[in-house]
Amino acid sequence: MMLFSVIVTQAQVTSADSTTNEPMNTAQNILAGNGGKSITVAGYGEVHYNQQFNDTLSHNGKMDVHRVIMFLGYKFSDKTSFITELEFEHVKELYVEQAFLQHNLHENINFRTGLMLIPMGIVNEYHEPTTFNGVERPNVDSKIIPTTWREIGAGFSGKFPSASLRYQLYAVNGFLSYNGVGKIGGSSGYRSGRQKGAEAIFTTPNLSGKLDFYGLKGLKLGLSGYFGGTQSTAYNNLDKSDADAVAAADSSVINISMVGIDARYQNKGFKARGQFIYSNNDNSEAYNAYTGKDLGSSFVGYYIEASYDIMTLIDKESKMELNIFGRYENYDTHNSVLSMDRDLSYGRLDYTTGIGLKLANGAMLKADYQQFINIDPTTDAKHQINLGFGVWF
Amino acid sequence: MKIFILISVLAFGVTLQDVPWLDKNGQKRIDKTFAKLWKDQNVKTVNLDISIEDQKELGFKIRKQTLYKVFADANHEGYMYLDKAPSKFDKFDYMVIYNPDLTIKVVKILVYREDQGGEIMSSSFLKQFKGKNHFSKFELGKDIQGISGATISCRSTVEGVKKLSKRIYKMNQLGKL
Repeated sequence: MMLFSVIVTQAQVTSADSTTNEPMNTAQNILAGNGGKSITVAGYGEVHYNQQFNDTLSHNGKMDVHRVIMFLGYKFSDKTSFITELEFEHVKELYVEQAFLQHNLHENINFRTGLMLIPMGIVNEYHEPTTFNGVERPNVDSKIIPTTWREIGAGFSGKFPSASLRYQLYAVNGFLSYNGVGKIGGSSGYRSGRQKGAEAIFTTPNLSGKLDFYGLKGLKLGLSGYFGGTQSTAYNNLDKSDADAVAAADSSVINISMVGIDARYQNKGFKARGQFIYSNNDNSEAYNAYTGKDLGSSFVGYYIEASYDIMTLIDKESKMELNIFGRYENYDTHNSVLSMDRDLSYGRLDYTTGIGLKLANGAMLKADYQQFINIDPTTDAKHQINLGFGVWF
Repeated sequence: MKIFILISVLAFGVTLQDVPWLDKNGQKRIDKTFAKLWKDQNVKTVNLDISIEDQKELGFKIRKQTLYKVFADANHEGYMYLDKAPSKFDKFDYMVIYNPDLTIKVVKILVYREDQGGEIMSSSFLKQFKGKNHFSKFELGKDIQGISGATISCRSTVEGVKKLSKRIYKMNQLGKL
């Protein structure tokens, strides 16, 4: 079993050579490092080894540079910034995960527009690998919330420090549910419907918001909501007077109402977190008839997790952390169905237990064991060991 | 040692001596904090401008208009130390008010420019610094509880307050205050 490493750097640099006043390109600015503050470079990365095993069958392991990400931010003024998150996934796939312009309108109000993260649950917004336990992200944050979920939109965010509240409210583009074929269903949930800001189809805006309360020491509570219809190519060049065609196109969209609550708590070496997500898919019956998909009429998923830094018991002066953790997940994309049989293989109970050794702030080695159980009693549980590391700088 | 003194005498309801590099929201937050701490008292701040020679002797730089002596009704009430610290993509301004014995009276975030990490302005987080001094432990997650989702800014605040506490202790030891 092997672990790999990547090289990471951080710099805060200027956009102009302050000593010679010569024009500088971006690379020169970054390399100059001459004391300015306009450009910020940051990033994170994670390398994984996954090994599934059981008593009767052999399984190949998988080694993967899962993600290497660079953040590039440019500050035009004290109030106006542009932030990008550029990602290499599995070495060869390139994505822009965030690219938004933000302007501070008032002490408590920021305007934001561009490609941004949908604030739902914990990990979609805070997915840097040293911020969560386990080699892989929680499965609820993949199967129910299609992390990393991002779309183009615009809206407002800010905080009310006296009330210990942070808010976000955006109008964003929605999932693509149909482009000649159905895109969302029971197996992959909403994942294949993410448009990711890449020549995205837009027919109707969706509303996304989150409220976080952080007024009690060590505790953070979140309430998320996401509402709106999916996008469909069936409306393109549609004769609005053709009632049958309009009705057919209407069958290609789903009205999604997703709500989530999450909590994070920490007290010295002890940490706990959990989240609950429920999503209702209105019009799923017509959608399944139109597309041949097997979309459930509702999704549900939750997890609870506790961890303890045993280094606080071994060496109180240590700068390192050795976290042991356990997580229980329960999620189902066929929580309810209409006019079809429920597929029990979409209902899962996952147990994860493992350790994380924080070598330094921002660098963590991880190891865990996972058991995946289908609620279908005829299928066997799957077992997997994961090793890896995560860095964030 | 050369100390250049600027004095402003204030009655509350009146703005404290302006910190020139700080924006108006930061100044307002200073005024509000002083009004709460020294209610119905006349407060004045005296800017301590540490000379270059003294800074060399101390072994660190002190930016102008960052260190102030605080008086309320002519009594010496402590010190106000201002600084900047990094958040994820920007910097924030913060203030530490020390008692005359150099224990921390209050920590306040004056201007937080970035959207993410603004949770550090929460009083439940900042109250944890009260009573600490140069000799205290400041380990995030052990002595000071952080806030999920604001890790970088929490760490930055802890490191910043620790740094200022060490510096003001050294300045006091060498008779620069």
